[in-house]
Amino acid sequence: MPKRRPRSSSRAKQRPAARRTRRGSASWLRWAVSRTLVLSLVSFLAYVVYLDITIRNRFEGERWPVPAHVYTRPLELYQGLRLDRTRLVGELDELGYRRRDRAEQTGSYALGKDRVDVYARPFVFWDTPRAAQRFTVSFEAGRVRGLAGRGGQLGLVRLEPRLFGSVSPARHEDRHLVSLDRVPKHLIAALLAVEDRQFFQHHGIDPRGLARALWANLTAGEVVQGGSTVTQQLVKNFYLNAERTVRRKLVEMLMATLLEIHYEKREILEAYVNEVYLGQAGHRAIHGFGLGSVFYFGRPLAELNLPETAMLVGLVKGPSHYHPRRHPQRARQRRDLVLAQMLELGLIDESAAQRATRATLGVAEAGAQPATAYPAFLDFVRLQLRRDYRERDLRAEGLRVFTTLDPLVQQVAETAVRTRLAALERARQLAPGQLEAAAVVVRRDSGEVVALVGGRQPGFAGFNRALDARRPVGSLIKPAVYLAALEQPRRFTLATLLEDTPLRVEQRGSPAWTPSNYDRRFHGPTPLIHALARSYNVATARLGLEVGVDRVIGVLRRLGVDRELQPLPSLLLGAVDMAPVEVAQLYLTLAGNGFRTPLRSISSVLSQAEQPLARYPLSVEQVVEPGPMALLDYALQEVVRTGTGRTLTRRLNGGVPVSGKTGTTDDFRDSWFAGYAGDYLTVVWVGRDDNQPTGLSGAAGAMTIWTEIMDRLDLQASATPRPADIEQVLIDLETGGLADTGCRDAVLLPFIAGSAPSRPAPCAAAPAASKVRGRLRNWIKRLFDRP
Amino acid sequence: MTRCLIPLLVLAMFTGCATGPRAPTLERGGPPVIDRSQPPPAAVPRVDGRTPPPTAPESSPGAKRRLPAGVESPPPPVSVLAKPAVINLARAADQASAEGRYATAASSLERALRIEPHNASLWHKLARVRYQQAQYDQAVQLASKANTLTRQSLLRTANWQLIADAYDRLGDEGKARAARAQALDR
Repeated sequence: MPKRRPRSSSRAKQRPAARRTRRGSASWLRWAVSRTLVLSLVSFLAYVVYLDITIRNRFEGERWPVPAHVYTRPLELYQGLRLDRTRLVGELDELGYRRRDRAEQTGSYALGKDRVDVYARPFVFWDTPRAAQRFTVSFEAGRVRGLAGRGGQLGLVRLEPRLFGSVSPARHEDRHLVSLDRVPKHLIAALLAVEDRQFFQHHGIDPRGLARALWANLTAGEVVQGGSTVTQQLVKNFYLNAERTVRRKLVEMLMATLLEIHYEKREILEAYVNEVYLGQAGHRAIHGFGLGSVFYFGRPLAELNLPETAMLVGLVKGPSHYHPRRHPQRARQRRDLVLAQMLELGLIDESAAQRATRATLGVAEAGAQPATAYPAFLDFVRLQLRRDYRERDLRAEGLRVFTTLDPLVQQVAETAVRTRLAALERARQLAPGQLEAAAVVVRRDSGEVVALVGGRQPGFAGFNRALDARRPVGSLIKPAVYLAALEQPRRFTLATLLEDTPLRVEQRGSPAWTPSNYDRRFHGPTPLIHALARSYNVATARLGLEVGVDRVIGVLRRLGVDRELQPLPSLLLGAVDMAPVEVAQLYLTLAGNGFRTPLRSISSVLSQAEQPLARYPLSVEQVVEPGPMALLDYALQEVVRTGTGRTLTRRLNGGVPVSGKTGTTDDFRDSWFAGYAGDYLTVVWVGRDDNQPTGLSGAAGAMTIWTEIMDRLDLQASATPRPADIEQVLIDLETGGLADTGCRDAVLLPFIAGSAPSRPAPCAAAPAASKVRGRLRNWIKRLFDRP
Repeated sequence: MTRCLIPLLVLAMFTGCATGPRAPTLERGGPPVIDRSQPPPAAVPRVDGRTPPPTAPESSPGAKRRLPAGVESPPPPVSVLAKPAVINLARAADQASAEGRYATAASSLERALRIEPHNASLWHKLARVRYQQAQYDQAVQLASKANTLTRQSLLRTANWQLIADAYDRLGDEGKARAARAQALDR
């Protein structure tokens, strides 16, 4: 374009044009220069506007994606709770409470003889916030004897729940957002003393600081000082990449100035406090002093003392170089430097500085804050969260998810799985590590899952057998068959004689089905209660066929089985694959007295701003009438009294009744036990990942883990009264007839009113004289029978 | 033209200042609020033409509504044999309930049930809370659960009465009548 003009004018007037051209080219140059200047100014200003928009968008929008944080249940302390001093101290240590001579600060406790003084931190629960609270817990015989506060006896106190995981992608930034007023004053003082002394005076750039850094770098011959203000550092971390070029430095300064124009110092400082990078834990980047405090000290930021805050501030310069766990010496030197600078500026006095310098680093153990303490339980929480929340919300909105996980029970279950599997392998001469197991522990009446073990290495987030190992359930399905029968009291009672004799069912398109018993024998006529308690396959198959497979499927549906079920006879003996959690859902309805309630792992969800978002309340639905339920429960207790579970000899908590069922699949590939007692239902599976036989029956494998877990829980004997329509009748089990005192093997059995047999048993029907003879004969026989 | 462009841009640059610094927010387009304690949206058709009582919002203390006799009578007290913690929580729930803070009341009762899961009067109280929240199906279920846990006639009568009232609200006259008969039977 500049060339065309002179050419066209030269064509019009040749001669006077030469002078004019000279003059014209000069003015054109001026014109071009001014245009270029204007253009570059315009583009510069446009760039500034662009930067300005970038800054504000990020600063005012969603600044940081914060993953959903997941908490355990809060420990409720009350008189009578089964909890000893050691366990309470364990819980307090896990919460990062510090042991002191006197509990005078929030987040601390003091030990006395049979008591613990606690100064609990404030916490916002879903239903109500709790202020910081001082109280004393006293113990007696493994239980809480009393709970005293400042104003006398307390009814109960909730400790805050413990954070144990987050819902996040594999590689992610994690942080706990803190507002500036929750940041200790000495932390801000230390930070500004070291990083930016002129923070409250400058406008984003500190020319003096810059000059000082420049001089230091020139004299050292390398970059030794940054000279960046806190605002510049924030801009660099927040908006820019890590490259070190002059251009990037200029952009950084420009943005810092813009940030200072728009926002107050407080806001910039708050953003910095939350943005700053403080370390790496695997794929998880630790950002902000809020998480930094928890990560390094296991305690909230507000509770850090002077040397601890000085160490955190010292980390800003190089989190890996000054890593307190890997390089404690360097971390300590850096901390002392921070303290020295604070002293130099008069922010602390000589004695405080000396005390702080003498203090140890006080860093919590490396494993204190793993990304996830209970990966198997977290899997289950994620599964339930995904039903209600978008993946994006879970990863970015900083939700606070309160779960039903009870770490004390989880600990018990993990230990039981680990120790029992090792013992089983030793006893059976199996290669160590061959056996695997899964366990689910649920509150019986509310469906709250309190513990979930996905394998023998619970800390390892791998294959979660509790959720994903779908295995044939075998005899665990039998209660559904018997319930379907007992729901027809006119046809079936606990005393009904079932035929345990060879059975052959022709099936179209597949070979005939010929079930056999576990002991490879047939037992002839067997009372229904024994057929279930002793887990006779053939009697059960006959019963199921008589009741109808469809009816059994109907019962399974009511009990809470969701998966597709094939209406085949083999279903009656458990030829259906289920994961331990599904079995837990099925047995939960039995444990809940015929009331179905969904398994729950979440109790409530709060937003980042601690506003309630979701609540998952207790809900129940009666799906089994009390009468048949009582009969089935009686039979399930018989399993443990005299049936396949009779080796469960250990009396739980002084004789709490146990109802349960063993399950053993073909060639001993799967060993199951599902049972409930007191307040809990527990389901255990033992087997091998390669699905090879283990040689373990349900009782020999899974039940031993089950007992180990349940024996350590606080099982309160449930006092479910007998339903009004249940009557107790004396029965001769051999014949299923009415018995009287003349019958030797008579037992009291529950019946739905009107369903008890009216026909007397031969032992009871005999005339008076022969009865006396019979009684005498029995008495003599018993005498000789005695061992 | 260029001369007026510069101040325009400078002006544009500082427009942010005119509005003043806005409080940063993290709540934009946030996750949904879920209340699983609310009844399903499909309302049960009513046959008696009466309108069900409106559900009082959680934050309306002292909300008074006319309730049928069974629910108006004070709830049977929790047994003195209960743990002090349970008595405390039950009392707190009664208080919250009287002030119309039903979600809080339910939450206290659930806490109490974790301590004494087989305490029938806690289940009964929870049933009443659900009734007051117009969750009549849950009221029936929870009162039935309470009935399976007690033989105490006073509590059983209160449960059957509550079940009858809830069936009334659900418009199931037959079941309401049957439940009332059970209540009178004791």
